[in-house]
Amino acid sequence: MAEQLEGQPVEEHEGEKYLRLLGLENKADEPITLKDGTTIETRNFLDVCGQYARPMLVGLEAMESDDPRREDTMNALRGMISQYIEPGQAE
Amino acid sequence: MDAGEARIITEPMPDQGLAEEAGGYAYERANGTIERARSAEEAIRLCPVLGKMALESPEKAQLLLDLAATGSAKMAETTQKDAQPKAEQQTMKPIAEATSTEKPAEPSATEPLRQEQAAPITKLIEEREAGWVQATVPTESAGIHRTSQEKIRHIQEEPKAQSLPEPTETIKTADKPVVAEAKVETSDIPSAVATSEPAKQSHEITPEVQPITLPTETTSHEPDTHTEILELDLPELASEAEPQVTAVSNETQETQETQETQIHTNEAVETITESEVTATYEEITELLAAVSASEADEHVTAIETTASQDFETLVEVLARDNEPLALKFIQENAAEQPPEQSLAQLANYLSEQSKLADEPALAEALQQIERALPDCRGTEVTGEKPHITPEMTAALLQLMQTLGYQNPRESLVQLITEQGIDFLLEALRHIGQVYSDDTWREFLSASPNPASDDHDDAHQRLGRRLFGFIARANQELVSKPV
Repeated sequence: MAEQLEGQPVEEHEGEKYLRLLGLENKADEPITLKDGTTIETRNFLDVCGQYARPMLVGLEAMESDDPRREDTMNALRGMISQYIEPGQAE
Repeated sequence: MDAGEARIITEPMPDQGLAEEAGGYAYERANGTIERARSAEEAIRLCPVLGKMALESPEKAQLLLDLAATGSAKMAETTQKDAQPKAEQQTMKPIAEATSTEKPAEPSATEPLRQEQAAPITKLIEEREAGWVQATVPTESAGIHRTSQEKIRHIQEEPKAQSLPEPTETIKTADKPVVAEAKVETSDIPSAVATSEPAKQSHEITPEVQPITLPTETTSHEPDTHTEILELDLPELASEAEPQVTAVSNETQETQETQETQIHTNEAVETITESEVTATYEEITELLAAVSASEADEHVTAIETTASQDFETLVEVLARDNEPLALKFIQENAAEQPPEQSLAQLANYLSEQSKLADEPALAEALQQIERALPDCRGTEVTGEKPHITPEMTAALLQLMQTLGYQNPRESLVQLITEQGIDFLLEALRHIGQVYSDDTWREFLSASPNPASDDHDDAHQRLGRRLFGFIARANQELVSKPV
């Protein structure tokens, strides 16, 4: 995926983009301490879970704005993200 | 980026004995080890990616699966587009160079059609790279197995857009970029397990699907007790007239033996009877009573424990000398080492992050132990000494079996005889502490209440479970350079 992104114009930080998509942009600067002691910023959450979360987020991004499933899907994904980026939750 | 990769192998692998010994099911972990499974459901359930997704709310899991599939397809499409310029460049190069894995092989004249055909293949590969499990019911036809297996190998070995298979028969995803489907059926759930109302929903069942009943094993994180069937909906595999699954692994004899041990363990867990628990409890109670009597009488020395070090010291020694062993290795070595060593190895194993997603029997045993442990502690106030309860006995028997001891009663009695009840309780406290520290614990505590009808809460719970699942499956990535 990193290779895929190389060479493409970076308009917006990917993690920030998806956080914004989910209305969680205010969480972007919050640190996440992983169990191994590594601390990352929330905006980089895809470094940790992007392998699985990215397809869902891409799918959400591609979903029609008037899709009746959109809100439910956003809630589900928001719940996922919130659970993860809540301080201390990932420790 | 393969730490979370997991795939289900439901194709028999006769040359490696998989078909005979495991019904053709296996689950390949990211590190290449093979976990055996007795059914496709079990194999899927063991997977750290999809294993728990559809347990609570299948329609929500379906939604997320669809979403992930759509996203994967879109990502694959993007990749395909990125590869086009390279392909055009490659066509100008000699054929030998044209076998590069980075490009479609044909000139742009046929590109639209090829893109259509390539999308499912690319999607499949992307799905594999992403670690999504693609599993269906295996066929009994050796010919079909062979053909599909060759095709799978072919897909894996060939460049993504090269040698595309012709779409044949019904291709379900021709107009829908869905690569995996989750489905719940309750019709085949054993009556002892099926406690919920039959599911009314039916999620895109294809004719090829053959429902498979889940094992009767129950764990606390499987509240719905639904039977899960995740169906692969990939054109190139659908064209085989039988559903197929994706993976071929380099299984070794060693891993087979490991899987045999696990199979035995899993089966043994189900064979613990109430009478065995009672008999073990009585035996331990008598043993402890004898020990207590011997302590009261200074002249009686018939029963002495041989514990030479406390449990934490043992754990530290093992941790210092060895890397934490995988559970399968603990199980393999169980017959050759005392129980306390296996417990110490288990403690080290649990100190590694997030490994219980694939070990529901172990997780259940640990949860039972945690629940039973407070009742086993003695109190100085009342003079009550540490003891064992029937609940703890049952949990310990299950733990012993999970650790690979074929005769858990004997092993448990041996442990208490040689190390003493204090050592055992200390070990359980230590293990419980490590276990509680694990994010797995958090994940379990977030298990949803299946009785709740709150729609949004269901989403949140599913999201928490799934994301906890994802986070655990991926945390190893953080510690590794990407």
